[in-house]
Amino acid sequence: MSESKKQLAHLFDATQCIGCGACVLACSQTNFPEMLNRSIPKRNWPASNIRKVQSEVRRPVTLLVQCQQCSDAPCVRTCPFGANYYDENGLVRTDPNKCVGCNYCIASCPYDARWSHPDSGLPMKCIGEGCMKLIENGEQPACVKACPAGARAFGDINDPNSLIAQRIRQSKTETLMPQKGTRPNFFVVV
Amino acid sequence: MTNIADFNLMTTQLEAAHWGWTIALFLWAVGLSGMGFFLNYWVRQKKFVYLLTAAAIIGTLLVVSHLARMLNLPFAVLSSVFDMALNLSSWMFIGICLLSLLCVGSLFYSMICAGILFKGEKWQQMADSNWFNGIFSALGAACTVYSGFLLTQAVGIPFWNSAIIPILWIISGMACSVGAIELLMVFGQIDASRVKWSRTTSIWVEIAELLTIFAFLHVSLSSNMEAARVGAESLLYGPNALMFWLGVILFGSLVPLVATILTRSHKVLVCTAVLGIIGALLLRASVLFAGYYDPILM
Repeated sequence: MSESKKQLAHLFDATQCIGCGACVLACSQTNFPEMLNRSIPKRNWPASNIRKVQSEVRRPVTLLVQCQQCSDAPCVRTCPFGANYYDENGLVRTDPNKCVGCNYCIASCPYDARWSHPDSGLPMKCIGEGCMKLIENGEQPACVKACPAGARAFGDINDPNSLIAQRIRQSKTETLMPQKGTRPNFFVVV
Repeated sequence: MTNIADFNLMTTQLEAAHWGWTIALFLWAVGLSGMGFFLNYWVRQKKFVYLLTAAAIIGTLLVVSHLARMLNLPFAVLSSVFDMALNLSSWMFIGICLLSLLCVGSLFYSMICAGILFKGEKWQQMADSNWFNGIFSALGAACTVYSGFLLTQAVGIPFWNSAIIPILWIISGMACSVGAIELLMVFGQIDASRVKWSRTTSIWVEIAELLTIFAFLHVSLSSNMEAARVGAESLLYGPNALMFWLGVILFGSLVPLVATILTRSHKVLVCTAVLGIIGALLLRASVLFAGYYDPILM
């Protein structure tokens, strides 16, 4: 379970998203440019850590879903060699040195947010290495930077002055699949 | 209620986990070897031990071949040990330890049986002893249970999150092992007087398997998780129904059960044993392929 004081999180505003796909491509370009013209094997979607979920079962909704940076992440609990871990910012990260590519974390994620890189065999997820470098340089992740509609935000939800904390306070937000008990840190404005 | 086609449109990524026939064969081989060693406590015949050793090694090779970063395995182990990052609560980790023990142990057992390196009366006495076979019996059962918990811990797939799966794997693994015992007996590879109980065991195990499958599906169909219900429906009348009804229920359980009750003809026995063994494989494959992620709904 993540115990860090800082908790970086994503916000996705479903009411502002125009479905342009800029975030999906920015994710690919920043984190795995070698996959830009390829798709995830057996998954009809560009190679990206962001995937589209459309549903009309309860009400029409289109979501762009990615790793929820869960505070009680099943992928961390099930990884045999501790390759998945929480970093000092509360993000769920993967250590390639400890990963054997068993894909157990892929089957363990209720959000279906991971995919296996066809070349390296690593289970990919948000936040990718490219975006980590951006964050370390004080910038926003690629998807947040690329969004033309301001539908995304990223930051420390434990800092009341952060933009994301303010947006969460001011909007009606939900987390996805709360019944799974994973304590996700991905907030959807509905 | 969502139909399977609509459901699949919402959650199409099961294949991204690449858990296909390789893992089905691995689960089957571990079930055969594991429950075979459990029953071997009462069998203790060389040829049976050889078969179980081969199944354990083949199963382990299958699961290792499935690793997308197989060559990183030794480095990952070392790195995790040095950083004290080994996840002792992960069934995948527990399974790696159990499988390693089973492979090394069964190879040791086979070498004693074959008189390779471990020759002499002392080793033979050990291989015949109750404590030695008791350890293998427990290890075999533990490996089979692990192969069930491996699925239950994959919380992304609600159909698998059922405590019945390890029990089902045990019963089905036992049916598969009894089939192997009967095959070897018919072909004179093991002493028939050592396995007089195989017919009665086979009948009760097949009945127990059918009841456990019924309980598993009934629980899944009553679940409040949509993906669990859709998984059960895919076995009953969906894309996996043919494999399930024909391969698992009819030819994998009912035919062997009825034939075992009606006759002990060796020709029929060979057929029912083979059907039972294949049925155990198809049971694992159909449960594996019926795993779906829960859709994200708001």
